[in-house]
Amino acid sequence: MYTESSGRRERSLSAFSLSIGFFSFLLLTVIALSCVVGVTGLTWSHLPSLFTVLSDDVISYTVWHVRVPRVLLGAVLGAALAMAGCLMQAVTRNHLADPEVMGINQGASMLVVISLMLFGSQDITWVIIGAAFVGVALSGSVMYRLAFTSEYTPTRLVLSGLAISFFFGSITTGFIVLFENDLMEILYWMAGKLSGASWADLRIALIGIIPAMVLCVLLSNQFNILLLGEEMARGLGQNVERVRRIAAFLIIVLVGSAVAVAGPIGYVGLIVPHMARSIVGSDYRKVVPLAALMGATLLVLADLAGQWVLYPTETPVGIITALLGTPFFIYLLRRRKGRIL
Amino acid sequence: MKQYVGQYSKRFAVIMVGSLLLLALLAIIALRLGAVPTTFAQVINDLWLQDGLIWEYRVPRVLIAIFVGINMALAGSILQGVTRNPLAAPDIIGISAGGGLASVIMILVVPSFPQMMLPLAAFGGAVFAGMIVYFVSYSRGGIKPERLALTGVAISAGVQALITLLIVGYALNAAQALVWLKGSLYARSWQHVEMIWPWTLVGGLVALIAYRQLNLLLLNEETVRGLGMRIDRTRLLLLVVSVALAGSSVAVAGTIGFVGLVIPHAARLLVGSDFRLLLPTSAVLGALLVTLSDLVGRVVMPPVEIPAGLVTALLGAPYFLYLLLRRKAAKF
Repeated sequence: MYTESSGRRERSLSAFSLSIGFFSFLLLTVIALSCVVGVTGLTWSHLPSLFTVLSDDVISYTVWHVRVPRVLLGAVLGAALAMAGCLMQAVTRNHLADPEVMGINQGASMLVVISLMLFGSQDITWVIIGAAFVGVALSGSVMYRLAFTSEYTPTRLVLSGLAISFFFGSITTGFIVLFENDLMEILYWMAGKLSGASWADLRIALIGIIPAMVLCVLLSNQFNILLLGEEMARGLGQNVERVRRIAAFLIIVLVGSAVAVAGPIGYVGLIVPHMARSIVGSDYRKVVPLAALMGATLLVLADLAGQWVLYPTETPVGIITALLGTPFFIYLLRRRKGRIL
Repeated sequence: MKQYVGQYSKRFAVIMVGSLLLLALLAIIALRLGAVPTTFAQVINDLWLQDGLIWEYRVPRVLIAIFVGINMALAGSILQGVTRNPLAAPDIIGISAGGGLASVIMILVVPSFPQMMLPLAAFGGAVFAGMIVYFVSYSRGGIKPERLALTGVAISAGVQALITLLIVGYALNAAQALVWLKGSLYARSWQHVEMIWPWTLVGGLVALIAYRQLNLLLLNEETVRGLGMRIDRTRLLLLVVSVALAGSSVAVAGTIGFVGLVIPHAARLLVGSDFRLLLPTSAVLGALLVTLSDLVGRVVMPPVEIPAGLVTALLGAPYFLYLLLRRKAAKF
């Protein structure tokens, strides 16, 4: 018995390190590619000059100030959203949880759009950040209450999340329709985008995301215990309420930072944790780091795809992930093994 | 049991009479109030002569509000019965979104489309989305109600993404599309009335006749089969009815949300869950809500008109949230 389980553990540990290695490699490749592919006039001969300090030609500006921050932001947000998805799925014990599905993104969008309209002419970066966090906290707390009302099955939670996001969405659209001024900009923001990302955006995102990620990894064993069920977790001496609150706080920080710099990007948090679990099993100590890597890869790839699909028009990355989310959602509903319904 | 039914029947009669009176009152007020000031004498005069501003613009508008309300509320009630899920509604499971996508394509992509093609496109889109949801959730042994609802959510999400894509891509004309997506009764005419009333009549009648089937579907699946009902065929038929009802109202008024979701709950609280009483009550309450919303949207901040669908969301969503957050939520 003992040997069998430890043998399994070793095997999955090697699957874990293999997949970590593979996805790190993939992520680095994808990042490198996205930084340079399609930059007009860039050839191999520029390679040394790219790494020269103070080279101020157009090409190295494009690479260092347009491409690199965008790609890195994509990677960071992808990791953050994937982790947020892991957290939400662990805490609600609902495999369909995701910031978008549960209406949290829409709540944040609503507040950001309203504050964009109120403070449109002034320096808006901090307004957007504040509004995004308040919005995430607001809609998050509604979902938090719903999720721990014991009658709520996964299906019911998803449907009520959708109803809530319709509500916030209606208000957002209403504001836009009634007081439209910068329609284009607001709509584009609402679709979730990475274009125009700067080093400043990246810095803002990192302030919250890095500590949240570290905490999330450190606490991952607590989530394993939480997944055993409330009774069992209490029996094992876990302060269930406190773990849930910390998780909720981490979700707010992760999703809030993401929404603040890039607008609502959905379904990364739904898709990635499932993929990670299918590779390394359900141990959150492995799922969380792997999901972060995979999420980063996915979002960078999706952003790259968004630049190519309707070239020369750029498709906001949130739309790409939403279009990936639909078939994945249906797959989750229809698959034979581990079917949700 | 009999006493229970009797108690609800009496309440049902009171509620029906009360809400019909209220509806009549609202309709009269809606005819009187608006951007152009009118007097009651003028209202009566126009109605008598069947001519003038009131007859041309406000009467069809009120009628459409009533029909849309009836259609959406009935569609929602039927869907909640068929999926055995109190959270299903045409706007949640993607039917409205399908209509929305088709009409956004029409508004944004097709240059100078004939105005009357818009309802057709919307209806087609809604039906198409309904079909996709049905077939995707179908598997051997029929459709599972829960999977139908969640598949609807998934399809709806994808369709929303496509709508956003189109709106972002064609942002210059997006304002019209956005108003349409929120569901508005602005500038609707008798032509639109002609488009919707046959659907309301036929769909409403079928729904009212099918109350027994709906009641049975609430029972355990084995029991229903044991009673000799062809469960899949019944489900399909009822779904078709609700898609037709929702599709026709999306066609004339855009995606007016929350009526199909909230009204059946309100009706259930009032008259219990027997579909014989529930369906008529939902229909009347739905008509009431949409008429009220359209009136409020027109009167609050003239000359700007708030789309009726936005008002229904603002009125309906907090109520729905309250229902969700109540401890006893699972009961409905």
